[in-house]
Amino acid sequence: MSKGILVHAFNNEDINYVKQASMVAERVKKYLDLPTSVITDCNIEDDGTFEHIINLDTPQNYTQKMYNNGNVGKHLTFKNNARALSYDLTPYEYTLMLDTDIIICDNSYKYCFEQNNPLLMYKDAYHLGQNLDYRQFNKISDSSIDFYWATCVYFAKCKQNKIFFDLIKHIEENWKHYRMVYQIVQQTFRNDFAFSIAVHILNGHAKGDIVGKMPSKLYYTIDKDILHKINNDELTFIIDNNPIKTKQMTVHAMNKYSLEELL
Amino acid sequence: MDQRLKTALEYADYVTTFKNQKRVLQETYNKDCVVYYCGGQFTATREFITSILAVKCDIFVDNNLTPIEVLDKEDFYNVLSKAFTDATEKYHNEYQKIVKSQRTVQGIIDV
Repeated sequence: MSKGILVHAFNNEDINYVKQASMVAERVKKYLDLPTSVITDCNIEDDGTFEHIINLDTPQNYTQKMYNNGNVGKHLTFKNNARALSYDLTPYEYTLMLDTDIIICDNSYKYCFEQNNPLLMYKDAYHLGQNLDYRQFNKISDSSIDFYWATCVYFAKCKQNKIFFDLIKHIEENWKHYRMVYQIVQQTFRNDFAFSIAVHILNGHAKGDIVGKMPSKLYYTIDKDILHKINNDELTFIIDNNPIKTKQMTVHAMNKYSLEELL
Repeated sequence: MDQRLKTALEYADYVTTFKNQKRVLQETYNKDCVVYYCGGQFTATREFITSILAVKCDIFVDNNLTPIEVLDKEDFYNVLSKAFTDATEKYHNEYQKIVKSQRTVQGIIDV
């Protein structure tokens, strides 16, 4: 019964996702005592950080995305089309797929592997600051379905999850159609939306419980917030000009520039 | 800037930071009170812990509304009890640190 963490690392003009993936792998080893594998289009030297380096040279349908660093933003290439392949590419029977900008500071995620639900995702996430409207991530659009985070997905190899990931591939290939059906304003393909639509369809086009809840809560900071300091399990952020310090709390830090500066 | 206004603004920053840190401690406390046992997820509260041995039923409905059979209720009681005590003491200690810190933004963050 193999289990491990899977990360995707596709570098662009400015962001070194491989460096972030190495940070995730080191923290996974420290806090969860599990191996990490990476899916990438880069040539990574095998220094033992990753258990498996899975090269994906398949031509990708790249998009552009705004990357903010505090109040400064830049449009960069965003290679986010490989998530749907995770089920086929994972070397593990039980996989926890993580974004590379998740800073693991506790062992909550290990409990994914100690429960029986084959598919776990976060539906709710909590911003660490005080003034952000949480509801912006409640639905994928104003008049549409529940939002699920593709940031952090636990899945076991089973028939249901094979159907789930194949469905995501179908949604991705027919993105223009599904964007219209689900009234999504944003034109860029987003994994969170594709996963949310797949959950909705598999639940019989209704709310349902096909997806279990991930352990603990998903805490995040947006790319306009600054990650100021990382000291083992202590993280200090600057949010709305105020410092916030966390201890033993795993955080999804979306400002990739400030994350990379500290690695 | 008028010194009175400067002092007031600095104090407002301190109050905001204090409030933020207390909220972070509260979140950590809530997380620390969660126990994963026999494949289920349970939140340790005084009420739940005291009810474990009082009711003669081995089935517990967890946080996700899944029924979980617990064969060793005494061990379950001890695990929950320890998690609750550790989390509550930690919350109290960490809260005291920020209360007793220097009453400045830097003072709280340096804790």
